[in-house]
Amino acid sequence: MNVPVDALKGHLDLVLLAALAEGEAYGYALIDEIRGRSDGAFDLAEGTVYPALYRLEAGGLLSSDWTVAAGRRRRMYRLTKRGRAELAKERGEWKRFSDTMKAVVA
Amino acid sequence: METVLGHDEGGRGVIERYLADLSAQLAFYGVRGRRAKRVVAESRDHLLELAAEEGEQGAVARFGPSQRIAVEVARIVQPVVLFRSALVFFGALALFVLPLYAIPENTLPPAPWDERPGYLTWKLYVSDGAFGVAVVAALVAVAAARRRRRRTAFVALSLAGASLAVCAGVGAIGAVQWAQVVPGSRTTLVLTLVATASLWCVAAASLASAGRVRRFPRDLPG
Repeated sequence: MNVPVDALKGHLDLVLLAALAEGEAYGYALIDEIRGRSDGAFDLAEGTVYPALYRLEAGGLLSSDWTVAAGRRRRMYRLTKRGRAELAKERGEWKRFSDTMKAVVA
Repeated sequence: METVLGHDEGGRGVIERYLADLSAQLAFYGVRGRRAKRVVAESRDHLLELAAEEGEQGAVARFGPSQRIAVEVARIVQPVVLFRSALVFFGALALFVLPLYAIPENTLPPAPWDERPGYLTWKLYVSDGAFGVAVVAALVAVAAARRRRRRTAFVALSLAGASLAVCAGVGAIGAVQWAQVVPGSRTTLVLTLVATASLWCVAAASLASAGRVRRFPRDLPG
């Protein structure tokens, strides 16, 4: 079952940072990774991921550059040192929130 | 199976039409040059990869409305562009102090009257006052843009542009009338009119920047 897009909106930055934690990726592969990890539940309008990537890059949490792989030019994104620190912080906050919600709702 | 390379009657593919629309939307919301090229290039790469699985129509549908993407990108880019526009605008005003005030003051031949005629005096005051308002408004626009206060920056830039247009308009009429009654002021008049015409360009540029800020829709397509 798909997660409503609005529910995901506030957490998109965390989702993107977490998806890049394993290593660099380009936009299409990143979305594929997110869809795979969520078992298809996070089904985004794919173009909306790029503005989020630009925002994270402007905030110094990601860096990117063009590379050529298998004859195709791709923009590869990776976490910066600040991005890793932010991911660790947001993961902690998410866990606290998630644990609390489970205790209250479940 | 859906065709991967669908074309319209003009021979353009669905993806190329979408990218042309995206490009136009980005320009409309003030994202141009290197930034716009990057967005379009990344979108093209993504859409082509997606089209191999879902066809061009399917790829475009999955990618989402071009307006939403353009607005989201502009929201990131705009504060930087707005701040830069306000700063350039303020800098341009500072440059105009010399041709508009210092040069005429020191090069104009002596005026043939004891008391300046009223029809010139009020134009001088209005022009000076409007220039002052434009400078203050430009400063406010710089400060607001720096703090990402879009609405304040929009109002300040609009006010600055409008004040400058008034300054340039009234100033130009005053300069022509001055040259008619003060012999030997032709060179200064030409300089002043060139400066005034440039001021109109600066005013138009500031109003255009303000216009781009205003184009942001409140409700976006889903």
